[in-house]
Amino acid sequence: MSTVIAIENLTKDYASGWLRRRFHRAVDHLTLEVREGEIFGLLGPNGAGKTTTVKLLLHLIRPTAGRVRLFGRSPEELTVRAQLGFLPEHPSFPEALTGRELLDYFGRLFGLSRVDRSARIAAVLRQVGIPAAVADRPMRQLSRGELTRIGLAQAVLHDPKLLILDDPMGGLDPDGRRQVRDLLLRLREEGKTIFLSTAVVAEAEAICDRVALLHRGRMRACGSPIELAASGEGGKVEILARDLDARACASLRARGCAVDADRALVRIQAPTSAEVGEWVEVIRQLGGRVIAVSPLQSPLERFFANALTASERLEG
Amino acid sequence: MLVAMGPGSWRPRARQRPRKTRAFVRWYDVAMIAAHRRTSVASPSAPAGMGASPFGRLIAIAFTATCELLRERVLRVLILFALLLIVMTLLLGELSVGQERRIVLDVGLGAMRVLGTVMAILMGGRLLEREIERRTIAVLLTKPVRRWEVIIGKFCGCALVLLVSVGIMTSVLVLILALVAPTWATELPLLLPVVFLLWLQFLLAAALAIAFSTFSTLTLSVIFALGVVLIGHASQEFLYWAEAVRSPALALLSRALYYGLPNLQHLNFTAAIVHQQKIAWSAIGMASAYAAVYLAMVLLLAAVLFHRREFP
Ligand SMILES: Nc1ncnc2c1ncn2[C@@H]1O[C@H](COP(=O)(O)OP(=O)(O)OP(=O)(O)O)[C@@H](O)[C@H]1O
Ligand SMILES: [Mg+2]
Repeated sequence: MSTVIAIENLTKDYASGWLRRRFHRAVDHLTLEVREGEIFGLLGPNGAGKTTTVKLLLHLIRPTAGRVRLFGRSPEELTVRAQLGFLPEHPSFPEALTGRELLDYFGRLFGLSRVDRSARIAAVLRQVGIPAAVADRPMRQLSRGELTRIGLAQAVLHDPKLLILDDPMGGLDPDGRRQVRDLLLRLREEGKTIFLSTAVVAEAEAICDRVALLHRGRMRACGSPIELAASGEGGKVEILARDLDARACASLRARGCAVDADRALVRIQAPTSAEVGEWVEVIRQLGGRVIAVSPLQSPLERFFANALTASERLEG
Repeated sequence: MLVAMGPGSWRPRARQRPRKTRAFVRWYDVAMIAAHRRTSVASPSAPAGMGASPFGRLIAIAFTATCELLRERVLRVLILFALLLIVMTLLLGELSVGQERRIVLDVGLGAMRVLGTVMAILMGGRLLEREIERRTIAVLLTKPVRRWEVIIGKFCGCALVLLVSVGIMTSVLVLILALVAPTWATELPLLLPVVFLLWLQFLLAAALAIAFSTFSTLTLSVIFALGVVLIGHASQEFLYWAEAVRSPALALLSRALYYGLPNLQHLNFTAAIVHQQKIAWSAIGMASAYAAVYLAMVLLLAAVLFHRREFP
């Protein structure tokens, strides 16, 4: 497996202020590699530096220190960009153009022939779920989700080897998310490399081969979701139960559960230090009936929550 | 697939509009297929490689810029206004018997110059600034294009739209001229070079606006470009000042401004045609060369500024 994205010691300081220059470090000595054919997720809370990293990858902004290599070359090179698809965080495109015109325009920039263009455009519009009527409307009339889909369409139009997607699920409805997930998985099967950023861990967990956790510009963890999840601990499950009286609730609270019982349905958040089956048994003994049990956090979310608190504690 | 819009309003969705494909386009496609020997179009995949040729990319950018500009309302309003003004000269001509031809040319060309300049500056300023402001430029710059190609491509789009506008305005002017002066056919060889130089002035204004818009806002670029153009029409003044002022520093500054700012009077032959003077080809050639050199410098500056810029 060759390395497609290589980031070494990448650092970016944003300057602000005119007379008194101040600097804000958005990305701090980031080093990571993305290998061919994998889906790599860059995760982190808002303001972690994900978008900044993406812009550095594309050479839209220049690094303060460190360097970026795509396919072993500088991202400025045209041969690199010919193999690259990019979806920005807030997709917006020239308003006067229609989606189809935009795709045709970009197709020309990649040197696709007229025949190729029309066939590819029809194919990608179908893949991202944009009906022909929407594709023929000027883009100032499109909704955010539709723009995201057009954005995805232009990113995959030329069948690039590498996709860099900044928050690909942002603003999409559940159906759209599923389509995007299917699209990404299909692209991986075709051997494409995908680098995506998102703030929603569950999304990344579902499709990423590897993820990195970014917080305040620094990488806090990196590895496969399963690997990382295995080291997470101290999660909670949510149990919905009926027929629990006040005494039973008090007894559950005494065992360390958070109990929310203003209605007939009782919502219990129980620590998973004990086995879930044991909690079910306890509730049954207290005279309750268990309706549903669900994890409050996925194991990966738990791991990340722990990692973030740890790093916050460390930095004060 | 059908979409329910409420009771009794079923609408078929996504009916493919019939494509108005002209015969030569279809033949072009057939030729392309033959040339590429593509066996299947059903599952197309893009060819690997560099992307389009530099020329192809320039054409694509220019073409799209033209499309965008032609959809601008402000452009249409300006052209309409210019045509209105040119037609108005007919009335003015009526008022001054014997002077019709002079009035039509004088006022008509004047209207063209003012409105064309405004049009050029607005178009040049908006084209790039809007893409930067709305951050649509980011996606374009990740395509296999060089930054200077974006500048030149957009400028070519502007130039094309300006050419068409000048063409329309000139046609109307000639039409009006034909109504008032029976000798209009003999005027054409005089008029066309003047109009061509007018177009060069517009190109210069558009290029200035593009250059300013690479680093400032729309309002500021329009003001800057307009300022340079206005001064450019009076840059002779700086030479007089240089001789008149006592302080050598001020004289130097005046001289620097005279040589640094474009001298648009070099491109203005309106007076000559109004007074039916023949313009020497060498004068036209010199003026064109001056405009071309200046244009190249402004575009180079724009490309350099744009190249250095970050798009956070
Ligand atoms: N142009 C800018 N100038 C100054 N600071 C900036 C700029 N852009 C981003 N920042 C700061 O850099 C930090 C990282 O921003 P970035 O956009 O990379 O976050 P993010 O991880 O993408 O967040 P989100 O999940 O909200 O998209 C933030 O603290 C932000 O305020
Ligand atoms: Mg972001």
